[in-house]
Amino acid sequence: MNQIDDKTDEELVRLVLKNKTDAFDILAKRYEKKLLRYGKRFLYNHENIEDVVQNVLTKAYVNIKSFDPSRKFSPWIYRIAHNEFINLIKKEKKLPFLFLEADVIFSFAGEKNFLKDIETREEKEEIEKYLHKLKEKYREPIVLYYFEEKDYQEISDILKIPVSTVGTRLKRGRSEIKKLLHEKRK
Amino acid sequence: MKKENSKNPITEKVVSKIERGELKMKSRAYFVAKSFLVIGLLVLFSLLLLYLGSLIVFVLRVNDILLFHGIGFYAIRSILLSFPWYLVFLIFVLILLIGVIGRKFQFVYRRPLIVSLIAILVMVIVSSVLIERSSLHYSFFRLAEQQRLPVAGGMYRNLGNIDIDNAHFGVILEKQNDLWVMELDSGERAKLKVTEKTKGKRLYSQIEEGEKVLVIGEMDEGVIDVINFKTIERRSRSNNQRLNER
Repeated sequence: MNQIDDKTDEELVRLVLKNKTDAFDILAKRYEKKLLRYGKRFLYNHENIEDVVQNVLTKAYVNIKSFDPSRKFSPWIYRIAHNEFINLIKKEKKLPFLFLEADVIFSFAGEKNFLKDIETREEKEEIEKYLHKLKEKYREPIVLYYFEEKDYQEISDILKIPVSTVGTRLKRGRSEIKKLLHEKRK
Repeated sequence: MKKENSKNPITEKVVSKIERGELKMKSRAYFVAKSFLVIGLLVLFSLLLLYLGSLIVFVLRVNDILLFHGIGFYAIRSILLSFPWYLVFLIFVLILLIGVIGRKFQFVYRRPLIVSLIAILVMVIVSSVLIERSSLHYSFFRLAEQQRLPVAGGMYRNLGNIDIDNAHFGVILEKQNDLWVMELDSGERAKLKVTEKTKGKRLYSQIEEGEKVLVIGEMDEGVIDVINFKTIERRSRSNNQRLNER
């Protein structure tokens, strides 16, 4: 079991494709807590998070043959999670048709290094307090970047938006949180 | 499978379902078929886009709409009212559909959408001009005029003979009582009357017999109140004789 535990996500997927259920068990355990954390921050402690994450893992298994093991597994399963979270939000309220958002159509000026100053745990905790006040389109990239430690390319693959738009949304989310922090301190 | 404590309750639920056979992986063939469907749709929409784009170029050429440049707002207004805008609308719908389906691919969604849309537009415009030059539409048009084109015959007959209000193509014949007389494409004769609304009166006085002209103005009982006009070089249409030859 130790040997299989040491395998990479992609190697585990190859075993799952050979019907090795224990490989999926390990893979799912690796991602269960991460997806719960992602969901709780993005959906702001929605009461059905566990059910949604169960759906994510179920869909990951059912659709595993669509995954190309030469690519990274993490963005793939996070993409499934993103879709499930968005579907949950849509059931409860109307979301704009994100395909036609201006920053997806026109964004060019993504700033890749502007967030280097957010290093400390205290700053992250501060950001977490105000996450729920952000719009979903700014909240999600911040959760994925700061708390799930995804890079720009991965966030682009998860959200299926241009890399430059990832930078733009991170910047705007950060500005919104700064404003909220500033108002709180007044 | 060894039972564990409830550190990962969600995983346990899912794995139990797998072991009980309640969850099954979808087959590879399912995803291959889905990919073929997506690619098939993309190809189909792209071909339709090229067809419609080249059809618009055909409409512009066969109706000599490109000759209307520089002839004033009145003529442009007539063209705008007569133009088959539904073709343009269909093109935009297809571009949108291609954009939505294309977002599945990394090389599309990683770039700003405007880049993809501009790339599609440039390809459509270039390809449409090239396809139009191939005489494909003119061949269909001729068949349509001969009532030998099923399904699309009516569409081609309409698109090839767009009636642009108050626009008259023809040849200057002679001057009669200080009024130029022209023979219209339809074979009819009309006199050209200069009014206070006529633009380019100086040029009007320089017209010569035999010149091909485009005249804008309302025609009433064989007299056109000229608003604007221009002398034109009609394109040599080796592949598209103008269909007033009925």
